[in-house]
Amino acid sequence: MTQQNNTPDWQDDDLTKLYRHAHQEQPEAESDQAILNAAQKYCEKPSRKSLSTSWAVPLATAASLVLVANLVWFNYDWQSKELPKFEEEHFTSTAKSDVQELAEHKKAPAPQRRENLAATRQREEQPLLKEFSKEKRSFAKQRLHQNNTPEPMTSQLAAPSKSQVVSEGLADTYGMDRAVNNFYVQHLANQYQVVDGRHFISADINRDGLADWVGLMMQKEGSIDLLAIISQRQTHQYMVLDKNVVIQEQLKHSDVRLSMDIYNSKKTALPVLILTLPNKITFRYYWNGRQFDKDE
Amino acid sequence: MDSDETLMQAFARGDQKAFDMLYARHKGPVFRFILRHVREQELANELHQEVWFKLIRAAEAYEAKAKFTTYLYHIANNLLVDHGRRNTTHLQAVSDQYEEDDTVLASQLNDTLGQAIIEDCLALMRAAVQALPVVQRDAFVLQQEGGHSLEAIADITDSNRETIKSRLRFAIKTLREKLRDCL
Repeated sequence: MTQQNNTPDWQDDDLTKLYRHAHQEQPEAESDQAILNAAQKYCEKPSRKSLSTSWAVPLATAASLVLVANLVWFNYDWQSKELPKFEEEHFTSTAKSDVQELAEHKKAPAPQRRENLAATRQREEQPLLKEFSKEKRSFAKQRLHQNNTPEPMTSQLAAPSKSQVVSEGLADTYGMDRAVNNFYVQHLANQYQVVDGRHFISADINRDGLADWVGLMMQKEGSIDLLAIISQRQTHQYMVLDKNVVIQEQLKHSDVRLSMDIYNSKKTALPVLILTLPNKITFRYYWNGRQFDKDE
Repeated sequence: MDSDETLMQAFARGDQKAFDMLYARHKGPVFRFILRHVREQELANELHQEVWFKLIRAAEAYEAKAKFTTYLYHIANNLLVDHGRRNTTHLQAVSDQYEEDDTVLASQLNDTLGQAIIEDCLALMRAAVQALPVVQRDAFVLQQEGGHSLEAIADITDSNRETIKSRLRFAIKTLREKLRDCL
């Protein structure tokens, strides 16, 4: 017998044959029986998995039934007692006419319904589109004018009016530190929102009505610190200047959606979602579990 | 034919026949792997039972992530390592005794190799395997009994592929030298 040429040197077929002939010991029959008995016992007892399922299913069903019953009762109660009052208080004449219109619309034949819908859409959209284009044109003009105007000297920067300043303390800080933060503050003047007592967000709107950058800042003793900035100029580049700020996600879209997490001293995240729309910025943020929306 | 993994999953769900098939397939190789390691029939039986008991106890949590045989031999190897730690003195004594026996046997074998016939070759093979250093023997037996790949043996013995390859090379070289008249 000779070793095969194509066999690697850590295998040997001849040795294997000889080894298998030489080694044929088996466990004792008693040992076999003990093992097979143990396996049988395992198969006979209900498994923990099936046991948990057998409890979980009825339990979940019962919980669902209770929940559904409560919801049905609540809905019935609300509809019979609260809904009439609510409708009386909150339904405007326009809403009421809408409901009436809808009812009439449902009665109409299909081709008639399509025509009605198209007419309604045109009626509703036209003023909005006009308004939007007007606003955008004026905005672009304003920005163009600003860009053509020489940059004001730091000392000549106009402080934001009281109405623009949400926090009194922020205005003071802004006044004190404008020399240092002049680049940011000149953009801050019109577009910033306070996230909490100390943090605020600012954005710069470009000629297309989109945010060029969105910055997260913090009011510190006697200064404003820029913590992070997300820039639109170079494919959503962002820069984090403070380790307590985490840029959570950036989504490319026809609109721009950016999101940041601020971490406070206790390392608790305060998620801030910044949604920028053409010619409009929406800040949505969460503070102590409450959601806030601010439109500008 | 159902794969080992399928059978083990069926057993985990309570299929006794699946276990019977698995056991029939692997009881011999696992037993011999243990026996080659501990060299005592009675102890090998005891440890062999323990391996399968452990497998049964862990059946519910079994997930077919790796090959079943790797999983099974891993249990066996861990048990041998634990047993080795608990019984260092005893094992050393047994090992010393076997090494003496092997030396005697090897010298007798060398004397008789010239007239070796097939039956003798089987005895020679057993003696030569026993005479291998433990790590080489474990690697070689796992390869022969379980048909394991280098990676699987490395996994079972918590070693790496190249080490196993090297152990197997040495084992095969030694065995070929001792059994040159039989091959």
